Amino acid sequence: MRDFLIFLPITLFFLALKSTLFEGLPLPDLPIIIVFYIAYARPSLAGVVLSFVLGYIDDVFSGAVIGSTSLSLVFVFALVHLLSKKVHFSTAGMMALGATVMALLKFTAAYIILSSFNTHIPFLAYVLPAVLLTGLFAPAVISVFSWLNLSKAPHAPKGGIP
Amino acid sequence: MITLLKRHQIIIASLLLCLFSLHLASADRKGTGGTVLVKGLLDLTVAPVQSAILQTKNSFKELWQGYVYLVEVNQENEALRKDVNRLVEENNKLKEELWLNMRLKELLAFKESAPFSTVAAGILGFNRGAGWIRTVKLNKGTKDGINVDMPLLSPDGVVGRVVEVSRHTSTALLLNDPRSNIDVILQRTRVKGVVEGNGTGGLILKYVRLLEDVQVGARVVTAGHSGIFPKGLLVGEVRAVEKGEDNFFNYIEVKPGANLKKLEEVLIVTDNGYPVTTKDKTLR
Repeated sequence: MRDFLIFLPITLFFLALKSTLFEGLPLPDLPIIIVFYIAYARPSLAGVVLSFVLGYIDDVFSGAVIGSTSLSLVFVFALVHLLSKKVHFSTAGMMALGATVMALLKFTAAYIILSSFNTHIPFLAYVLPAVLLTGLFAPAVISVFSWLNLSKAPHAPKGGIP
Repeated sequence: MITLLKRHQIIIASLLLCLFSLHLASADRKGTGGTVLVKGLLDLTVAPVQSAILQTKNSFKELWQGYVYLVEVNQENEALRKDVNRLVEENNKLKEELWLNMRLKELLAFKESAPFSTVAAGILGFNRGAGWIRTVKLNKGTKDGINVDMPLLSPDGVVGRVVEVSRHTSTALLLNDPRSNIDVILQRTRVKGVVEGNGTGGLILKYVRLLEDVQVGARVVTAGHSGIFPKGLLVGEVRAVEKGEDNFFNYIEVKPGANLKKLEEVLIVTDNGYPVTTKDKTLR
């Protein structure tokens, strides 16, 4: 519940900023970083639901196909959760790499779904900057989340979050 | 079974939500998705934030554009001010050229109409030493054929005479210098007298007896007796006539015909028909 109270307003504010002040600018995908962070540092049922809700809001907000982003984010959550048992996203480089891969997966999933609607969208032109920015900003954003002590993982992963 | 479910609850929940998301996507594709409630919630929560952000953004934009605009206006204003200054300067130069042209035309006309040879000279400077000295420095000297005692004229009348000459420049005594004496006659009445500087920049006409007919406004012209000034050149006109202290002569004030304070060019009479005196080149 605490995650909802914190990350939901942050996501809404980010989406509001993205659609107004930073409209047209390439931005890191904050929802994917949040999902990545929660899935790694605080995996729980609430986290899965939060991922779904964040994706759903993103879809509704952006006018995308409803369910496409929520599917991606839930999928990413599950994947990170599974990977966290094998891979330690404890360093900035690993965080950046993990966030980049997850962002790429998310966009690929969204791309596939949109393509199934016979929608032609430029993949690389849009996805690459967003993916790279997400990977670039992920360590800093996750550090901020950690610094704010937002994560009190009941079962902190090996290596933990810096 | 329950333990297994609990152990993999996250994965199971994820799978279920993925399926649900796929269902939503499918429903959305068919146009049967129900997002009214969520959209309504977003309208209530995000829309005001968006509005506030947009207002803030627009305020900053206006402020920024206003600032940039003002900076541009300031720069433009500066450029225009420079242009105006340059144009004013140009205008002044052109006016100066125009006035010079007019003066030279007038001088040329006078030179051409004069029955004697003249050389035009520019005035380099005015000398007003000791308060009463009135001399000018001219840019013509012996190399231009200038000699002492050559008269200086302007289209408005007599200016003075050369008193000192060097190779390239010369000095002239102005009409209103107290040391200047010119034989004159009143043009209408032919009364003779001598015009001298009164020491304050004006002229006085001396040696005109009380019984002579002298009217204010009478034109005073050179008499041509001294052998320096050609006869009949305008010196000035009578401004005031008073009874002299000696009860024998009038005290007559004469207003110079030439504006001696604003001279810039003059004509030097080089050949007036009289033999030129070249006794010395010192100030007399």
